[in-house]
Amino acid sequence: MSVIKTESLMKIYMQGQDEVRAVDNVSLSIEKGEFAAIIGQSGSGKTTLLNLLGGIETPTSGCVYIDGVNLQKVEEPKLAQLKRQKIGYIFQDYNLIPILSAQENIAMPMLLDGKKAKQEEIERLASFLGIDNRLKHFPSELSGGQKQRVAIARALIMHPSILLADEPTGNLDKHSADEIMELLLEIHRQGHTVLLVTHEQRYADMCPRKITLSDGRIVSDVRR
Amino acid sequence: MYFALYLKRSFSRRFQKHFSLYLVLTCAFLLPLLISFYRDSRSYGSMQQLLFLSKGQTFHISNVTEADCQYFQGIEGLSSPFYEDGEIYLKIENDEQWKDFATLNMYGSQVQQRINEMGRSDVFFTGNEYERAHGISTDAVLLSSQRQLYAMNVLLILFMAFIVQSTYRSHLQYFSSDMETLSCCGASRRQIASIFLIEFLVVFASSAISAVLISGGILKALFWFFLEMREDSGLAWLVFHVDARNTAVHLLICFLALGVPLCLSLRKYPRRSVSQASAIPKKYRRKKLTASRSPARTLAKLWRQRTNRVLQNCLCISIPLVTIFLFLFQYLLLNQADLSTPVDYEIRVTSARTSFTDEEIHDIEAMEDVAYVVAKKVPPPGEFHIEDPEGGLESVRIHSISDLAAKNETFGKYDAVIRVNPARMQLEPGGKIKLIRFNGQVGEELFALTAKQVLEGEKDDWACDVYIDDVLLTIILNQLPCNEIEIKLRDVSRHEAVGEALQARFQGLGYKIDDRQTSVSFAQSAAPGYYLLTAYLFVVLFALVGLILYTRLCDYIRGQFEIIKTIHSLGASKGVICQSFLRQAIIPALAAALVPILLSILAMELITRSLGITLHWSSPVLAGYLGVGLLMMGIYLYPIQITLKNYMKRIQLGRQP
Repeated sequence: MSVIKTESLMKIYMQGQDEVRAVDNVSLSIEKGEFAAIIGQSGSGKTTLLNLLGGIETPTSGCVYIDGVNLQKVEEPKLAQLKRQKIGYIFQDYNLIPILSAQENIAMPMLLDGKKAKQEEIERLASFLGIDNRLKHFPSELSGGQKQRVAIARALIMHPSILLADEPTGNLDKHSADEIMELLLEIHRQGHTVLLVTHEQRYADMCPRKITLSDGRIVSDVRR
Repeated sequence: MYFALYLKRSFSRRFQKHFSLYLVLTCAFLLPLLISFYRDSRSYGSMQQLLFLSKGQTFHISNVTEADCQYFQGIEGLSSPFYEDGEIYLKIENDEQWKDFATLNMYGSQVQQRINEMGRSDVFFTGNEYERAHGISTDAVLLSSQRQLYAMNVLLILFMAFIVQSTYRSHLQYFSSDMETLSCCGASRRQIASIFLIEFLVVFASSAISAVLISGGILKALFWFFLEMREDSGLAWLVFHVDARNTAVHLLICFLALGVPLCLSLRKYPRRSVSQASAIPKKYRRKKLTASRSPARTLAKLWRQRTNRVLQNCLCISIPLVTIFLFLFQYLLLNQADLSTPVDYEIRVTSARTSFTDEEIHDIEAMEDVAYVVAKKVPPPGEFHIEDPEGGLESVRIHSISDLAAKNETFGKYDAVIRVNPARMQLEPGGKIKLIRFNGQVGEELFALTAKQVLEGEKDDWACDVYIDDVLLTIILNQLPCNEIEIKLRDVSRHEAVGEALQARFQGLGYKIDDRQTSVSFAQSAAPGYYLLTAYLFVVLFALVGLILYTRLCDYIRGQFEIIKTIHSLGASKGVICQSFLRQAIIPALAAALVPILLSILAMELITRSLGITLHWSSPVLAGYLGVGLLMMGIYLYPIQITLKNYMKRIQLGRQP
């Protein structure tokens, strides 16, 4: 069963008078429990495609289905709820809220869902990700790797079925990047559907499925 | 060259940002310039009035014909006499002699001698001091109020500079990334500071020119239609005038008040790194963000606890400004209502020398448009004196005891309550004083009084006020000549014609005709002008407050853009984000709406109570307050709502703000 499905997805930006097709007629399907990598060169439309799948941006045309729900048809509050409960998003530049501590950043999706932050759940995740001694620190006091772990913890706190990771290793040194990749594989093993955007071939090669984008179009979709 | 290139790019690509700064500066200049122009107009009006009255001449000889010029020929040191409209004019030729009061008196004696030689009792002269004849006012009240206006204006400029600075700091913050880029490209701090100073000079100059034109134009129009007063009616003249030097001084003060802090602010850039700017203040760390009843409440708590206290800062700007404005608005309304209130009698004729005869009173009663007259006996100043137990003699004013307080049983006919100026006189309760009336140089003792109570009076020039029994007061007043006639008209619009008829009937030095209706008529005709002036001030003030708050609140939301984007991507709906900001702003917005209203009402209540006036709350005034309250709420909430709406749209389209 497809947890993510797109039909003729298009995203067109206007740059002055010029039309830029960031995502051009993309139709794809991601099955439950799958780990897929989207690979491509800079400017190929990887991040835009992930933003469209995560409901962060709206497509110019086409549809995105998450667990059979058409994101373009649901009302905005419902879409927000779906994003909170079904999708975890990891950003390349972490997107941690600088005015919140690591612990508060992790708890933010729960607070947005109107729930009280579960301290033991936060501590369990922090322990799993190796940041249990950094919970009281603010993002400005954390290293790149630690920030990305906080971002992963935040993405997982609501137990989403889908994890969208936008170049999570892009800003990290090789050692930290390898550790994050290992964590993602571990998360996948726990049953999450993971969609990883990367431009590094070696990390894409670690994924069971590899989708290659070029100029906004899927040029290859290979399953191992 | 790079200055011009950067400025050209900066002005064309960030036009809106520069334009909003231009608007803020323009609005900030409008009020001080308006006050400056009003002050100039008062000064100029006073000068024109003095020149009109003095005709630039030293002596005016009245009740003469052209043929009488011969009597005033050949006085050494004085110009040749010339005749115009029933008066002969003479002028001291040497300015230094004119400035000397003794010499002026000496020439006055010579003129009086020539009048005596004419052998006509109706001819009299008036002399003008050098300052008066040259339009230089020596009126202490006018000069004092002009000084007060100037001081108030300087304070207003400093306050405006203070609030504009905050807008400018946020403007600089917006351009801080440009500064960092310029710095990375090799521009020195001095070069960067120069660029922004030139940019400031350009915006300042444009704003100053616009503000001079707008303020001048609007005030000129109001003067043209309503406020200009240059009739020979006894009222102070008000003639529109802009003194270029005063305007330049005001703009220079504005420039210094803004420029110096700006230079200090510029020194911080671009040294201040982004990480420093975004560091979390330590005081925020202690408060842990916890879940509230709804996500919007939780986020509102987040904004309140962890972001800049921009709303509190906005309150520091809006509350004083709006309070002062509302207070002045209410005071102006009260003052205008007081000035425009019909008087109980329109014209008063007073005689300083003699008593009005029955024939004179009958002549007035017989005049067309006169409804009735009331003849009064009013003690002229300096008529009565008291002699204290030590034999000291001082001028007094006599009043009825009922003016002071209800008379108690122990207060006898010859008892008095004395209000003494402590700087002039010392008196003990129970002391005996003599009430003396002076008739020319001869003093006549009227009564011996007992100082039942001694009160401390104001430390003004007057020695003391005596409050006596009504019966005794009647006896004293009956001894006075009938020296004042109050005239009530059938048709108040005919006051000028009656005034002219009275002038013709009561010519000479001894009579004074006071047309009270002139000031009422002027106040009534000028009222729309004052209301329009208030409306103009209202628009300028609210434009200023609105622009500053709009800029600051938009900058505040822009500063939170990345956080908003993150929170939205984490699953906060647009509605929740908007609600959270509005929830954060609602209490400051309510405070901004209510506090100025309450403070101004309180201040007005205190003022009216101290003046013994009853404050009436009409429905238009209440509607005005309601309107101001709603406007203030709108000024706080609208920028937040509109900016968030715009940003949420941009987030969904994947664009940056």
